[in-house]
Amino acid sequence: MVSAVRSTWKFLSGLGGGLVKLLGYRDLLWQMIRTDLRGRYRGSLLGLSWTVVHPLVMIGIYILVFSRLMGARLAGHTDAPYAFGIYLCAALLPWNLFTEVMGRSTTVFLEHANLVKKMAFPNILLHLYVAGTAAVHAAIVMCLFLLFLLAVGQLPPLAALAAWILLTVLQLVLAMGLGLVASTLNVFFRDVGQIVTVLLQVGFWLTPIVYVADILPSPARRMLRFNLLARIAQGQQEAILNHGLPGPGLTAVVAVLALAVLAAGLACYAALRHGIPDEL
Amino acid sequence: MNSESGVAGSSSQAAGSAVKVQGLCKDFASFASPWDRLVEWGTLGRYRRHETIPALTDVTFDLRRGGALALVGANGAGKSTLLKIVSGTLFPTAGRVEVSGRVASLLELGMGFQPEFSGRENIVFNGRFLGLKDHEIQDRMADIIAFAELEHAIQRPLRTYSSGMLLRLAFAVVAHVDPDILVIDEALAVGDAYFTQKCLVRIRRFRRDGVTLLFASHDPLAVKSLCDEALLLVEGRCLDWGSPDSVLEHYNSLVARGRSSRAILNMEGVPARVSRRSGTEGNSRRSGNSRALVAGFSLTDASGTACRSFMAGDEGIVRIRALFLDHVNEPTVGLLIRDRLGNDVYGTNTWQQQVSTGSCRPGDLLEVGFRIPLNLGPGEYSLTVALHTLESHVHDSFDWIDRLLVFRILSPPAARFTGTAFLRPTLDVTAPVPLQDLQTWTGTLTAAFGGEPPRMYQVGESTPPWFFQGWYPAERGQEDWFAWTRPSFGFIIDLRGSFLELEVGARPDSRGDQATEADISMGPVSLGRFVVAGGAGWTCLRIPIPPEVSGCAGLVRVTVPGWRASAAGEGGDPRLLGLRVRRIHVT
Repeated sequence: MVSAVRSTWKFLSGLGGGLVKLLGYRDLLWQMIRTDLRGRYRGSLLGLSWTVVHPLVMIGIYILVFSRLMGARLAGHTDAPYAFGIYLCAALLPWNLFTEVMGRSTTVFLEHANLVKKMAFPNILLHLYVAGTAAVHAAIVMCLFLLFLLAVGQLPPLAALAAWILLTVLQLVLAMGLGLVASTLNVFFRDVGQIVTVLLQVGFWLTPIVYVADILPSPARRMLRFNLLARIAQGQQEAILNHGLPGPGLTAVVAVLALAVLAAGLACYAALRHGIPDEL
Repeated sequence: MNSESGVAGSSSQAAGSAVKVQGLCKDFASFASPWDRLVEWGTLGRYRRHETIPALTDVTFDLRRGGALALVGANGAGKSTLLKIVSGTLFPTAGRVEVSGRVASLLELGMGFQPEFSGRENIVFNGRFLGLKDHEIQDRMADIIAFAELEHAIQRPLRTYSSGMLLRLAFAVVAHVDPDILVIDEALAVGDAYFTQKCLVRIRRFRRDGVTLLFASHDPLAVKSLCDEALLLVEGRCLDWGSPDSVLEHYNSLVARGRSSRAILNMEGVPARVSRRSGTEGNSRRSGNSRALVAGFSLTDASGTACRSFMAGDEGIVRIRALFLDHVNEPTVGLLIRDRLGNDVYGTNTWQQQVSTGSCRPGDLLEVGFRIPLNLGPGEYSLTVALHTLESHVHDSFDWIDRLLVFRILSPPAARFTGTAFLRPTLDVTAPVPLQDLQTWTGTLTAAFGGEPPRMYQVGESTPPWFFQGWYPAERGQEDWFAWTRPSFGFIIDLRGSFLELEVGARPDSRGDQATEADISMGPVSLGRFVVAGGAGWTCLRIPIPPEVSGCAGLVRVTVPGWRASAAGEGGDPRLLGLRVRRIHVT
């Protein structure tokens, strides 16, 4: 335990130097992201185009099915034909980013055990690579969504857009922090991967993404206040649908918590990282 | 992410040392189940539920820049762990490791390869990992592929590669990253002999260029020839550190002592892995009706010391002890030596050697010794022993133990050779003597080529062997076949006649007036200097054959000024060219 504390302290105190060292690996990071993007559709006819086709279909289905076929209407937006679809996408697209980063981070050491065991490099690069790849995908999807908003004339003003993106970035930071903890623990307890999958599923339904918070009974609705992810989702929906800005209080709380989780993730990784290659 | 707590990459310390290891310890924690880990972690270590497995204990050494250190030791002695810590992929439990310079390591067959990607993409990927910039990788790509000899497979996904191909690729990448320190695990052992040799040559060149080498190997020959220091690891402890010869000797003596301590009456028992009780796997290696059993064996050198590696030509003594459980008259005791591929190299037995073994009763012990000059090629061999009756074990096999032990033959450094037989040739070489005169040339050439050289050549699809030097492959022109030559070229021809006719051309370019002068000679005799007109046409040089070479066969040499089509702005042909030749004729 003492050694874990010591190594954590050394790790955190060396964070500055570490960042500089990581910078030296940016070519490699970029290479890994590019390789991943190309590799995912390797051997397919359309290749990289799939990165656009997938989200296009996804957004199309959400909007068509929910807004058109099922005729879901949003209280207060009964006249807007696409309101529910837009409501859905505003929080679902960032949630998908969150899930992908969490999910892939959790197994990243196991999946790349080959690299961890045979190559000497800062292993945390793997997390940046997972987050980077997911972010590129998310950026494509979100751009397509914004294009749709522009097409139907509901593009929010710049400030609201910025708020949406900021909340999404903070959500990404949160995912990286949680992912660091999960991936590190997953090396020692392989159950963690399963737990994360379950938690992500539960979390999806504990967060008003495909439903509206108003349909919940009021005690449950009060509990939502304590769900950080629900607060983020609501902020995103508010920004896109009503063009409202999240309060500075909420933003600050989210930012502080996201960074705190990231720091906790780094500390957890730092304390245990020397044991990681031994276990793989 | 920060500077590694134990593995410091600082360049300030110990200017003369590339790798400095002090008091290095590495323990692995082993938990019987994940619950044990949960309990220990949950109680913050108050309840220790793990077993500590020490892999390295207090290892200290200092490897100077440009030096080469071999790690010697049995499997599981901690060699790989030590190499991984120096490479930075494992972290030490205690102690310091200071590494200065760029480390390139080849651990356990290759590196972080991606099976779905092609060889080329993996080179880029791994080059990045080893710290190369994009343009550096592209610059070296062709060299890497050529070194790995994977030109035909480089576009295929890596999952289609054999382990030998993976090793070649891995070594080729490592060989081209300009490391300061090269760390090589026993990886080279999986390659074929040809590539291993190539790697060793490359490693020697690295050494000459001042690269520090850290090397783990079982091969005493590689250790001796590559390294100037060796470190003996036994159960994670450093037992000896010194010259390769003394360390290897120490190691061999330990191995021998380890064996003999387990032996009964100076003999080894049958190992558990071939025991009859060890289940199906063991049984496949041992068969027989148990009327008699192999109760002990030994393989020693001529002095009687247990030994598993011999120099080719050394004498080895195999002793086999048989325990009889039944009455057997004249039992046969035999052995069989097989090479690594399972080919029988030599086998014999008491029946074939016409040695009487007498009559054996139940409870009798019989011991047979085979004194064998090991005139075998370098490599690994296995020894199979058998007890049966009559000539071979098919009649009545008592006990047959397949591959009872493995031993190694080393090539004597002073007389290297390949193959499985050590034939000890004697060689004699006459000093090179020039052919006295042009007349003898004719006879010698006829003998060497198996026939008289032709008097006429029409350049065709293939280049004949008589076109001696400086010929490019023939190509098809507008009317006829012709071949380009280098600025200096030669051909062997029978000069029985009065004229040597050459149909040649110079540059086929627009500046057709650019004539070329050709010097033609045969041995010491000059046939003169002739002008070849420029342009796309053909010039027929009609050269009178001087009397002193008339009737001789020999090498006619033609020299012209060289030129390059690409440099002269006449197309992309990058070759250094001389003349075009269509026909050569002696009339």
